[in-house]
Amino acid sequence: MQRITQVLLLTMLNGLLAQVEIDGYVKNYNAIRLNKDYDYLILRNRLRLNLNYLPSEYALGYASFDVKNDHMGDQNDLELNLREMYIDLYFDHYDLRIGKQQIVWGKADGLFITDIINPLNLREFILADFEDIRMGINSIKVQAYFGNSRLESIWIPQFVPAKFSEPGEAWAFYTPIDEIAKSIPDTLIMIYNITEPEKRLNNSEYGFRYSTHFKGIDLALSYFYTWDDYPVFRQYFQLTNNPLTPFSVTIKPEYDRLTVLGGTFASTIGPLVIRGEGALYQKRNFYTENAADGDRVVQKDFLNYMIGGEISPGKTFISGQFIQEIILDYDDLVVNDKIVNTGTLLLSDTFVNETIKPEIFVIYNFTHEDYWNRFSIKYYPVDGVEIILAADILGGKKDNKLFSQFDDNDNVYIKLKYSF
Amino acid sequence: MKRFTILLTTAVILSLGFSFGKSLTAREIMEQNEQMMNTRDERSDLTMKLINKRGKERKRQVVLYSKTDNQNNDKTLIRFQAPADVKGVGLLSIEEGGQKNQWLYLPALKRVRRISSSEKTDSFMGSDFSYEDIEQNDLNNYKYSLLREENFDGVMCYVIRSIPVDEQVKQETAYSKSDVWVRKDNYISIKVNFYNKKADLIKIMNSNDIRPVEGTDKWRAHFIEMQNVNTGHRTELLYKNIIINQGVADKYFTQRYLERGR
Repeated sequence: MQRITQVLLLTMLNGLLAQVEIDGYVKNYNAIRLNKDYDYLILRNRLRLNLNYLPSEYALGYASFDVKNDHMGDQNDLELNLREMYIDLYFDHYDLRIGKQQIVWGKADGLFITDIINPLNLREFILADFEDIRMGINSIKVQAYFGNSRLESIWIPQFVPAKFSEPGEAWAFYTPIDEIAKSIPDTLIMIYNITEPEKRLNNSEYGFRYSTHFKGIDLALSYFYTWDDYPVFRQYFQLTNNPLTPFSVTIKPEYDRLTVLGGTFASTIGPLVIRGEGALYQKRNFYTENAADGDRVVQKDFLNYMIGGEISPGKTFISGQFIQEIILDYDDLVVNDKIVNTGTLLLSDTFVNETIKPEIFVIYNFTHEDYWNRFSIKYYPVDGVEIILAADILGGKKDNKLFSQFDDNDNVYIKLKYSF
Repeated sequence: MKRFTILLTTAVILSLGFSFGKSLTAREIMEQNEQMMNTRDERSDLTMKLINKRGKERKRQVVLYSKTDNQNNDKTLIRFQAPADVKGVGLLSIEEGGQKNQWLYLPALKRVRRISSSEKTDSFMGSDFSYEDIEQNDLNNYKYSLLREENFDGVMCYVIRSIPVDEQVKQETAYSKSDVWVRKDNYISIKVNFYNKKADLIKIMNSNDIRPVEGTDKWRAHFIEMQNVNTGHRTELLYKNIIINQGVADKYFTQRYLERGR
């Protein structure tokens, strides 16, 4: 009897496995910092496994795992990460996806304007592959289809913030705490632990997106009621009686609610593809120098939009984007610039039957005069194998801006990837 | 119907050829060829081998879906199955009022990207085939003439030359002329010589393993090779599981299906 049970179980398991497709890759990634010591920035191996379970054409089970090994000096970290795990159900006129997932909105390349559903892992700034920057989030997504249109509804029961490097690490961001310590050196700084929204229903996030294709144009409108994934550092200054530290400041990092209205379009004019994306962030937090303001934080509406185009003559690919950020109802005491202009340029080509692909990607912030340039050559010696040799150059004229704060992190890297 | 299929290459051309005794005119032969190739819808598994002059191979596997709707608009979906690093990538093309719209789905980015329509002279998936080689061309865009009838590869063929009918077509195509061998028994083209603007022979296409497709009166080449005369590079296409006029569902030609990645 026991043997029959074992045989039955094995048969069932075999049947189940026969319906599971496995793919993924193994990747080795080594980056060296371009400073006088040429110290290692990253020495990493990664195994990615994607499992697709296909019981029928009306359902799918999907899971994606990462096993990551960072080995720097004595450090030899092994990290297992469940990137995504969800179930898809396909009906005649709507689809349902439940579980940990990545939800991608927007049309911009390398930017997050309306594409803000998933929190970002910024522990390596935005230099990692985009599939690794976005963190999967537990959510329910329903997409209803009618004609050329669809209505997408998402519900995220629990807020997950963005991830950052710890202070002192290579990719640690410059924060208001650093600014205070720098500008008022004798200040006593007390920092509260960061407060996250309580885990309850009315702290959940939700959004809707309507998209359509009309006379050759792809259009979408979106609404997202969310939490800002980035904490605001509320600052409370006080005078002290201590002559050595005449000021004290209490800092309370918190997450605040945010409402984002967005829209996108994409179309073609002859050989040119044009794309655009815009979002209005209602009551976003900005720092102010107004001492009368209790916490040195003001809320302003914020507009962020992009317009871009791309063309591919022959095997060459050229893409450019212009991005503008505008703080509405601006006052001069707001620390941030009222208007910030940024441009991106991507150039790539292929040679030797598409086995060699050089690429240049540039982001330049015209307002802050800082930049990130990436020069890379991809080589595909055999099917499924990719070798990338690249350099990231970051810098700028002004200190501690988005890219210039990582001026010391210029690096060259090599990645070897085998997909299976 | 104008549809997506490699074989059509040839079909190309036409105009008013001269009659050959009581035989068919060149145009009539090409109309027969077009009729043989035309379908309402089609699905096939395609393995593409890119082979350089040293014999080094790269392989692509895709599933092709094509359909022409009641308004005579073509729809195609190409879904990559291999190699692993491009598995799930999809290219959707939909003709709409004379304009072709194209979307590319990249599974790693989980995003559908609008792309510009391919030029006729662009390479198809990095191969030695260009889009004009694989798409059904309007017969009225070419003039043709019947060069001769001859036995080729054991079968009697018409040899037909096609040239662009006007300056506009000349500008759109990479070829000044092409010679096509059309089988007399079933009007399938089995060889095409392509000539560049200087009238030099640049590419040779050979079609083999020609047999009827089950359940239809259509014949298809199941193995096609395109050779680049100048570089020595060649591309082989191996077709399997060709299904014709069995009603490919409209759902395949939607962004919804494109995003499923399979």
